[in-house]
Amino acid sequence: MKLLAFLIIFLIVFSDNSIAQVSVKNEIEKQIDAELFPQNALAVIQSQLSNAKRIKYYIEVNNADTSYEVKFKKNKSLYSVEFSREGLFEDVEMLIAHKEFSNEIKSNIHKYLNDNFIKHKIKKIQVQYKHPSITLEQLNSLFNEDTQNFNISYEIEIAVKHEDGSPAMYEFHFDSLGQYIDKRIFKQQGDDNILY
Amino acid sequence: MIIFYIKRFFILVLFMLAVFIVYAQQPDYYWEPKLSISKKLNNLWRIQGSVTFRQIIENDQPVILQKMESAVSIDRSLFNFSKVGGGYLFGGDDLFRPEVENEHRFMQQYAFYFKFLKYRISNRLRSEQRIYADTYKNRFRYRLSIDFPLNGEKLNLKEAYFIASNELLANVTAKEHDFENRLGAGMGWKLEKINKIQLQLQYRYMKIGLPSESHAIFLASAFYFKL
Repeated sequence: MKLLAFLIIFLIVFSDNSIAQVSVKNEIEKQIDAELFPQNALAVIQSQLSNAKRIKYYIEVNNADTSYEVKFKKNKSLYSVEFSREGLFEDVEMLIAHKEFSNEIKSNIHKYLNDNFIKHKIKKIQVQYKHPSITLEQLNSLFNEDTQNFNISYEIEIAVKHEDGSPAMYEFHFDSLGQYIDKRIFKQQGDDNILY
Repeated sequence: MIIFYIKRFFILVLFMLAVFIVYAQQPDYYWEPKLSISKKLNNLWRIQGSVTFRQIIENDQPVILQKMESAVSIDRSLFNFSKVGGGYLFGGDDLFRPEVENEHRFMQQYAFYFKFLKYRISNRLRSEQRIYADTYKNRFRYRLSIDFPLNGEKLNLKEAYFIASNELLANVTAKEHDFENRLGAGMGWKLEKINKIQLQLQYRYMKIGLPSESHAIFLASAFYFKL
């Protein structure tokens, strides 16, 4: 009973002030069958899926936005192609390694991170290709490494340590030169079951 | 390539669990429900309390409450998915036999995990000082576990996840020492209000290295609440 009383008092005394005023990445992603994927989007991407592996279809709800995403492996690269609720092309994301950055981009990104955080560790990098009104030929050219028609940016998941010592995980966006655009904080998956 | 090895790891875990269950000689069977409540205090600290009931299941016998543990722990988040913490546990052994000793346990732990795609691989190192009326034991534990959502890359509300783990334990006293292995696999569900329910089948190979070595199979059910 003493233990329980101690626990209750402790919980009342301390309040949760953990919600910082930062945009939160609150994304719900559900795997779906190909039949539920927008058919006009499938028609656009179909030719790229013929020799792809591990093809999976998802519906994503991010705050008020709904989108569709197909993920696959092709030519040893992991791709994710996103479409709007109406099945219109939004972007292609490709997983890349840190060493694939040019020195200039690497330097700009690390300068921003060093200036703003005590510590950082890059966990995942995706290069993002966007196009306002893509044609099928242009999309196909992207998978043949012709990226000149696309706006390029980088979506990077980074574990950081703030000045007050608190750790956090963010999704950052940097432009094609490695200049900071914005960031969203990740809500961490609960770990009670692996700690206790 | 990593996914290839992760899949092989699961198959190995499930195979070993099946083999142990089939060949373990006269194992004891237990049901161990647990209730865990945690509260994030700020960006760094979290407190957690839990109550665990161990019940032995025997043929033609009523279910007997053998042990009850209540614990309180506090942990601090560190950089890059790691945490350090400690706590206190009170263990009441066999509540129907007051002559059996109660336990006061102090715990210290360090845990870290990393993610690859949807797979989360976790490591927990723990040391324990177990104090009884007439004896004292040290115990050192290392647990490796892997969990992943069964639908998509992120665990969303009302979705299931798979978890498998193996833990090595070393009991050390001035007179003797022995080892224990706990191999488990199970499933959990993330629910809206109570946060998480988990069911795990666990095979325990105990007192390895002593003449009294034994086997036990635990059905561990856990309710994880967040305040």
